[in-house]
Amino acid sequence: MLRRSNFILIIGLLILATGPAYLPGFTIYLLTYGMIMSIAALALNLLLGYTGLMSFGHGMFIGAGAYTVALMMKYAGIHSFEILIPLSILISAGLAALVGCFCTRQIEIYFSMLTLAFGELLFALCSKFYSFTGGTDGIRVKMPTLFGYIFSRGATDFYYFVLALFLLCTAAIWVICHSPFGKTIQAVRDNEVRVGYLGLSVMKYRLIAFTISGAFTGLAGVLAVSLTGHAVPELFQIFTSISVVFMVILGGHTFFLGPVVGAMVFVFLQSWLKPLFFWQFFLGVSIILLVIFLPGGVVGGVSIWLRKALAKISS
Amino acid sequence: MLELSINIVLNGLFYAGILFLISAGLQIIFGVLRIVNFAHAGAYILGIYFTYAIIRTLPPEYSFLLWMAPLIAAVLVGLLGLAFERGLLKLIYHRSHVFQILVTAGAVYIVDDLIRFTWGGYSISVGPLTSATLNIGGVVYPLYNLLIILVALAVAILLQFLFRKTDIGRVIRATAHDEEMTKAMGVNVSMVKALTFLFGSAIAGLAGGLMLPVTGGWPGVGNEYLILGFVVIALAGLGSVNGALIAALIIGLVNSIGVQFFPEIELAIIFIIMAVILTVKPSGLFGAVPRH
Repeated sequence: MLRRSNFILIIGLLILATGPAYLPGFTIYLLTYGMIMSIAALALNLLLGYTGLMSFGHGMFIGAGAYTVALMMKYAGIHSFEILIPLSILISAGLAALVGCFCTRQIEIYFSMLTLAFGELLFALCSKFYSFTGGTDGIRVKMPTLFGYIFSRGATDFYYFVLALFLLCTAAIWVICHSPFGKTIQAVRDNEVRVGYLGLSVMKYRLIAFTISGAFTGLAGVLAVSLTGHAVPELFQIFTSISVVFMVILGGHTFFLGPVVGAMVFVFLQSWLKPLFFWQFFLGVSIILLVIFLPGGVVGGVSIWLRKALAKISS
Repeated sequence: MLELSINIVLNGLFYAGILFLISAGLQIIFGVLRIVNFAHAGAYILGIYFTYAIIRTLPPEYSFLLWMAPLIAAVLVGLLGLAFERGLLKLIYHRSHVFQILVTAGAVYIVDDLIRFTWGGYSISVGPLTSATLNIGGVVYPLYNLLIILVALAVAILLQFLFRKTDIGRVIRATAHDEEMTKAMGVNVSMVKALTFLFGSAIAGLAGGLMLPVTGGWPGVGNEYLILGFVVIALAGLGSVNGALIAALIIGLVNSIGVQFFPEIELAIIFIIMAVILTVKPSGLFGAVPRH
């Protein structure tokens, strides 16, 4: 018998796969953006849900990915995904390893604050070096090509490209989470002292998890800037970072696919509410309500509700 | 050369004063509540806008009260902080720090939008409260900035006095040191937390109010200063008020030198210094080893 959660998963996949046939263009744009942010949120949850570290600086990797694309286009004239994607993953991973060397020595709130500070550092550098990065104006980015194939913005070919990468990343992160390495970082989360006694270097595992997480988030940055066409310093900043954290918590950080749900809900809510003047107000209120009333996130809430409803039906 | 150095030192002290006023509140709140309070940015910006509102609405015949405006704003901000603590923070003391950060950050979003709603999204400013200057060793320096340095110094001394010599201060220190034991001694710890939050928010509000004539205000200004406050408390070690004073002096002077000689990367220098110190001493200059 098919499990209920698998059933929901298959429906979701079917909608994603066939969506362009019947959904309006703007919805497809939002779905594309949602999948991109899902990659970042899944990567962040590798830290929060699985390693027990809360990064408040993941915007820096989105920014790193985005600016790799922007600067490479502007100065090296590279326009193709097949070079830009590996390059920016490499750069994000390198940045994560460097920043991680400082941050993973700390835990809990200290880790969160240090990652936050590094994000702000990159933001400061990026907005100050006007001549190189365009300062606060940012850099315009053209849609890159894939092995010579030219994506048309707004059409569905880019959507399927992102869908493919999204599924690939989700599968990769799933494999990582369920590998021996994934089990080890969960052990670090649950009891780092015991892991230390087993002869494993806790810091090394934290650093590797941070680096992997940064690399995936960098990829999300590449795709995001290709979609929106504009790299701005704010990508590095706390607002971006907290948005990603919010997506993870909104979906439910104790569920593997929780961040995906969170990212999708966030992106759609944002598009409906941002034209209204009180988007930030709404965001703040919903963050507070979520933390107090729905700590398991949307997925947690829905699964509890479903279980109750089904129990009522069967009784 | 001498004049330049005097200028750098004065600017550094000025900057340090503001940073201390912001981070002192963060530190006492963290010490007692064990929460890194992102909502401090909200307290700072409300301090600015309340002061602005008071200055704007004050009839000219009461203009001598202008100087009281930041103080009144600080009291208002403190009371709002109290309401926030009683109404919301109290509910999440037992939760993980991720949720605590999210709630306090959410409060900043709300405050920023409410300010945009009430006073508009553009930046505000008021004329200088005094254009008087003082000649110090050949350097003509605005009196107002010197006053801010003095206020910061006064707050530092007052806090020392409060913590060392008064009962409420001793209870606050005891709660920060060992909450369970303090509770067992019959202290109403919940009340101590509320008072601490009120104090901390009020100091941040005061800082904002004092800075209004210097920098003006705009929605989001609190966040910029909050980040610097975080750098100071990370450098100091969480919870140490005296550490915050030293760290604020370091950051203030470094920033002042940076602005003078390397204006492009002044902020970066601060973060790099922080990174270096935290690499050598992960718990900060005066911090205890992080609790596991």
